[in-house]
Amino acid sequence: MHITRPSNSTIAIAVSMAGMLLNLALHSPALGTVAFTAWCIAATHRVASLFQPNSKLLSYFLSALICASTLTLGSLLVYFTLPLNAVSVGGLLTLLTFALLRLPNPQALSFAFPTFGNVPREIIAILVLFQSVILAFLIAARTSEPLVSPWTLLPGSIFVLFFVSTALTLYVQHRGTSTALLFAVVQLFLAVSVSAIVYGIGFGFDPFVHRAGETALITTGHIEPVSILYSGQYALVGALHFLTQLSVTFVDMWLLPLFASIFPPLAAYVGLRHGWNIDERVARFGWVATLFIPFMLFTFTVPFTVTYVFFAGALFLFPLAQTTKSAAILILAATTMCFFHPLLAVPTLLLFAASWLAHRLSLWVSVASFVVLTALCVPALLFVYQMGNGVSIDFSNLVWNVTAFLSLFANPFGSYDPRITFSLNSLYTLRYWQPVVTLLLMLALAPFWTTHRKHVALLVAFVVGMLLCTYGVSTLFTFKGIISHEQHEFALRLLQAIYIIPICLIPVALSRWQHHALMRTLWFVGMSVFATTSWYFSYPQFNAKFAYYSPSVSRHDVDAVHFMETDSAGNPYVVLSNQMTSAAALQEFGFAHYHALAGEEILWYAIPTGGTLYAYYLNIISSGNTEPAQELMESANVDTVYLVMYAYWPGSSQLIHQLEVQSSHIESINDRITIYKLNRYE
Amino acid sequence: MSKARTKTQTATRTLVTTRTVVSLAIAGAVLASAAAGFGVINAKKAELSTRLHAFPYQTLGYTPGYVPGYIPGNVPGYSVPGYVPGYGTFTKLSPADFMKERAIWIGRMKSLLGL
Repeated sequence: MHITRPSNSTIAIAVSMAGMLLNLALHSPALGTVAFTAWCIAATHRVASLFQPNSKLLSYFLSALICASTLTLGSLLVYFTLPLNAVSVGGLLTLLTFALLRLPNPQALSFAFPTFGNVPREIIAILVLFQSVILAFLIAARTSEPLVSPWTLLPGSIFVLFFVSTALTLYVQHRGTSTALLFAVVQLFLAVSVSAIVYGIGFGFDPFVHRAGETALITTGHIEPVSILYSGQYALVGALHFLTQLSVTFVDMWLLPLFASIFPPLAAYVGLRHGWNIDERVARFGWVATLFIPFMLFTFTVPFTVTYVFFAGALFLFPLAQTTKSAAILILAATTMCFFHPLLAVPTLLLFAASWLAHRLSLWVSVASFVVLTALCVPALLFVYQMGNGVSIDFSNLVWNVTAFLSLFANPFGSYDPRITFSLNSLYTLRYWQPVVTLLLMLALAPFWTTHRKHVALLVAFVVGMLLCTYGVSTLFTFKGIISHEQHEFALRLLQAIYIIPICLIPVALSRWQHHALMRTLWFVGMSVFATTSWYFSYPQFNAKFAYYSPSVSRHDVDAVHFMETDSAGNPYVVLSNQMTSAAALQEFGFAHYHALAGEEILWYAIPTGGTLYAYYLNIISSGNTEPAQELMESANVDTVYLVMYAYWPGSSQLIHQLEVQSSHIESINDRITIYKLNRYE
Repeated sequence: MSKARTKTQTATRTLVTTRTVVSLAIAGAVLASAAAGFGVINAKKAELSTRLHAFPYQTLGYTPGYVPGYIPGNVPGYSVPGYVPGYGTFTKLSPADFMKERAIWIGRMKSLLGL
């Protein structure tokens, strides 16, 4: 009997799967991470064999998109039909592995020591040193204190280091081989990981809510209500947790920074080289255009930001969709993104479809239908959503509510106090006008663009369609449970996306002058300057021009929520606090307690900020009178309300003094937070 | 022929030596700046962990007691990312509130200038 030896690919896939299955019992994050990484590489290599080997990197890129989309869609299938746990995820992994093994065997991987072409070793060494020092600075600055801006802890020299390392990375891309893209990945990682590294407890508020949802999912196997919105992130993070045995918090926190470090440089390279047909060297440093406009939405994980990073990559990739095979893969990936957040994923899907159609139908028919569909898609989805929530839509607002749309363009840096320095005013003037001017330049120059006419026409149509879409979203809808100043959140997110549409044209424009050494040098220096200013603006700032005090979730918040949970001794209670403390409560206890108030079930902390409890909190801290708390205890039928005040809030000392005389039980947490316990009938 | 080769080799060696010396000088400068940077970070962290009250605005150039950006109803302490288009700011102030702020500043500037 003749037994054929299985191929290396088959062995790698089978062994890594066995490692992950075994690890479901061993719970080792190290083994899980190694086995999962090996499985992903082997799976990508296997699927890549389906493509023509005219470009290895293109084959691997498309293959990786298929693997990531299939894994996410498989997790979603489990999420919607079964409890998401070790058994169901293990079953999914086994099914996917058997499906992979049915694919033809690829050629053996050839490993070669990476080379960087004509780049002097000294330059590589200096670049590594610069990047290492930046990373060391970020790690050294990590804190669990309430932090307003990471820049308040870091030395000014970090911006010089970032500028020089960006310029050196571009130089290495120019002189090196595609291996040099590794340095682009590292540079992007440094650019997008500041908040994930520096904020010890966690950054922002929304990520805490999503992490609490994901923790509930892996603990109980399901969360209710089961909804398509956000399901992509929840299912993927849950599955990755079981496959790698890394904690949900770790997986969630690093999902976007890693995606934003790896996807944009590869998407820019592959899209520019094989879609836009740009010279190899220019394609290699096209990634830096993603740092041209401040990239805050690349820096923290929530479902929308995942789709935003994908959207940024799609701007380079969409010309690939002229072939049916590539279009199918890109549309598969965009469809997967719709399960994260449809707000940008649906327009991205339409962009790929329009690119495919533009090569089959008349350009004008494709462009016109693209504009109409892009303009209508998101308003139509929101219309269905609002109808489902029993909210009626007044279409006359399309005419009468124009100010809501215009207010989206207001300059938020309007403070011109004489004490603000000229340099700060100039910096923020650049900040306001840079995206606007870039967009206007693109629209103005589009008719004169002699090459890539089809792609440029689609981009212009995309801008027009998205602007109409933003108009509809900003004028038509008012959302339940969302505080007044956050009502335009969706419209603002769309506008932010519109501003980055021209970024893909920046490297395309350079390709005309790539052989001109002076132009190229100016471009490297200019892009490095913009990348550095964008870096500064991509994280919270605190300076005379932008002096808004917004501390993060801190260890004091964590200590406070534990104190209240212990002090309540199992009796029902309600907490009126700032949402940073609520975020700490969600992290520590999940969605632990609910109360009935005003005909609805509400959490025991004051979230959402558009909800009833938060209105009580605002009322008490703006009046300094705790009487509304008695009314709240009656309505919610609880005997205790905890009111939380912060020593580090501006102007809080007067309020603390007023509240002290109205409460008999006061607890100080680390001298930073004061908790007032208010009892019923007291 | 051999003289020319020797000249080229010497030139190459000189270039490599210069490049190495310059690289070492840059590396030294970066490491010195890194050492100073760690000192700054440690000092700022120590200050942050001992500070009990809000950031002293006078260090930004404002007069003591003044709280820029505080508008009643907008609770300080928000740090949810605000998607102000193209600006990437972290404020939760609505554009209308910003316009109010701006009007206040313009009023102050006018009074300062005696207009």
